[in-house]
Amino acid sequence: MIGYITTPEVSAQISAAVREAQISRGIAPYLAIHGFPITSGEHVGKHFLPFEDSAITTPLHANTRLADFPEFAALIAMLGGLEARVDLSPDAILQPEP
Amino acid sequence: MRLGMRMGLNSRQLGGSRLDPAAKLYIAAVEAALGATIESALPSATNPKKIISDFYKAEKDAGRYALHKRIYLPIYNNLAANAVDAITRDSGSFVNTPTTAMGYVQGNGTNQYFDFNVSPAGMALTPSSGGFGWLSPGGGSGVGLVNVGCENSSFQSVIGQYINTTGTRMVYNQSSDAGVLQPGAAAVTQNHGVLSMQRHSGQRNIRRRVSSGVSSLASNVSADAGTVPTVTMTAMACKRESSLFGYSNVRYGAWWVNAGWSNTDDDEFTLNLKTLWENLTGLTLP
Repeated sequence: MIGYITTPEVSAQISAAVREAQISRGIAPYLAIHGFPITSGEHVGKHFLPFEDSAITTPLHANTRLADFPEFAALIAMLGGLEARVDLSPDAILQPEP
Repeated sequence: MRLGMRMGLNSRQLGGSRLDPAAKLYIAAVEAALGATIESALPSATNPKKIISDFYKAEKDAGRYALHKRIYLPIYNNLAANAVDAITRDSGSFVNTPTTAMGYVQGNGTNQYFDFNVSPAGMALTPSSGGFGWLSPGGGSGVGLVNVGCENSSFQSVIGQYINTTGTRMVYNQSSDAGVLQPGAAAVTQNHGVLSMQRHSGQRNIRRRVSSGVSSLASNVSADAGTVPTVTMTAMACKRESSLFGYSNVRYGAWWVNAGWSNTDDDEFTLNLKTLWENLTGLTLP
């Protein structure tokens, strides 16, 4: 999985910012970005925020792309830029069975 | 003057649209989300507006329209348009940007899913009546994935369907992980076609439509039990309170939720849905 290792706080900030970018434009949120607690490996305790390359090119409302939103650059910069992404095993975010 | 005005009005009526009014609202919502015409998103369809209208008319003529709670058609290669509900025009939410294409959407099987943003309780499903399902043209790998489902904690309140090594299982509102089971079907291809799960008239039924026809996969008679989930319904994974499991990488062309109906109604609906999807996309179900 391609994405960012970050703190739970930054992960929540990104999720809220993506939601606000839609609501502030009068659009019902059709896209959500959710981070996952990392449960094993060297990054235990942090969050994984998925961000595949396909997310950059996926067609959004009124045929926009993520890069068309002014907020996008600031959010990516908060995460360290596209180059800061890592490839994390899905096992790292597995939740224990109840 | 009055006659001429009447003639003029009649001319406009004759040349105007005869689309079903609910279809017109849905098409308008999709086009607003696309920022383009629906024709541009569905290049293989001959008159997509009429195709969509015909679907609505067929469901209304059959008396089923009032039973529909949600129908999503993630076929427009656009996340916003894909998230528009054909019944209420409310928007679901795609989480973590699954892949879009003309005709379907596909998750990565690890962290992408679709949230209906409404719970089964919010859609007025009851322990005695409710249904859900999906249309899949193929794709995916592995088993143990959930196509549509949600549950409150500890299996006390579950509505969903999944396939694992023991087969295709529907769980509707039971206090244990039981449900009705089609045993022995552990292949990912069991997710393909139009799969419908219905709780109606004391039964739980799984029915599957493919190009060759429709069949019952499993059926049982059982009493009402448990409570209807209050967490939001999800597709491509199952939501259990605030966590998710069973992420799916199958391709999806439709999801729906309904008040429960008979096998006869179910078969008519899944045929209408198959026709709608194939005519809009130019693709063929397996």
